[in-house]
Amino acid sequence: MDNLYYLVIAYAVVFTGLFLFLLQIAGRLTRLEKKIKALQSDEL
Amino acid sequence: MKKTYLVLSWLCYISMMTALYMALIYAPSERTMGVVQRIFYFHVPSAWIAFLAFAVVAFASIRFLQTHNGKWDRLAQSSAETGILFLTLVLITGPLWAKPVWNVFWTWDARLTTSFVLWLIYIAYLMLRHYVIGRERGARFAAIFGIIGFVDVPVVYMSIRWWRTLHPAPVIGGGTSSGLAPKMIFALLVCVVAFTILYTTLLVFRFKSLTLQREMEKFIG
Repeated sequence: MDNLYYLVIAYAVVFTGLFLFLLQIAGRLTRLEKKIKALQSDEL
Repeated sequence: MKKTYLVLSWLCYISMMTALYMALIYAPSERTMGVVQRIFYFHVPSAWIAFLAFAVVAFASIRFLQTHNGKWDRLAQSSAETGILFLTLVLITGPLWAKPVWNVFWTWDARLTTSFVLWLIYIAYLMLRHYVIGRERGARFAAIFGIIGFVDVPVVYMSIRWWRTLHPAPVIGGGTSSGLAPKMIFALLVCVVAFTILYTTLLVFRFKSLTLQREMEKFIG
């Protein structure tokens, strides 16, 4: 059973990494959306 | 940061952590296989979500052929990429589970072979999309391929019913000899919900990034 706790911790680390990665993508998408909106309003 | 992205990311994190707790702590160990059977809680939801993703590819492909609206093509591409990711997880967790139980990582039985063929079909789908010259043409070819490729999904699902395989019979809806302990069913359901949220998040992010890429291309020319 002890080994399972190590596995839980390992997975928790992996999922936290995935979460941080998702947050980074979310940030990039938001910035890109703003940039495109600015380009569109410049064009008008 | 946009609220939708933030909510999806947090929802994904919380549900995956809950799934982890359910699979490794809450669910009881299986009597004959022991701890290794817990792979089941990630293996089965991954397979179901891959099937769902490929169903979305087929649906979006049909809609694209009907309407020629680019958003359906982008949805099909996003779902195919996400589906491949989940099917890859199935093909990794399967052999990891098989080795201690069957004593081999891989065997060419019906379920495993049809699953591997399904993975190859959608890899070919993405290759076709990128190699055909002209985006509109590539999207049309990919849509046709996406619809035909989906035929393998029911074959994979039914393979353990149609042929004698080493792969176990379905644990849910597999007849009188099938079934799971209530705690195991609950843990499985939580994992399915968590994987569905993960799939939705990845799909939304990929779809949005493809949409923004197309819009950016209009300015670059």
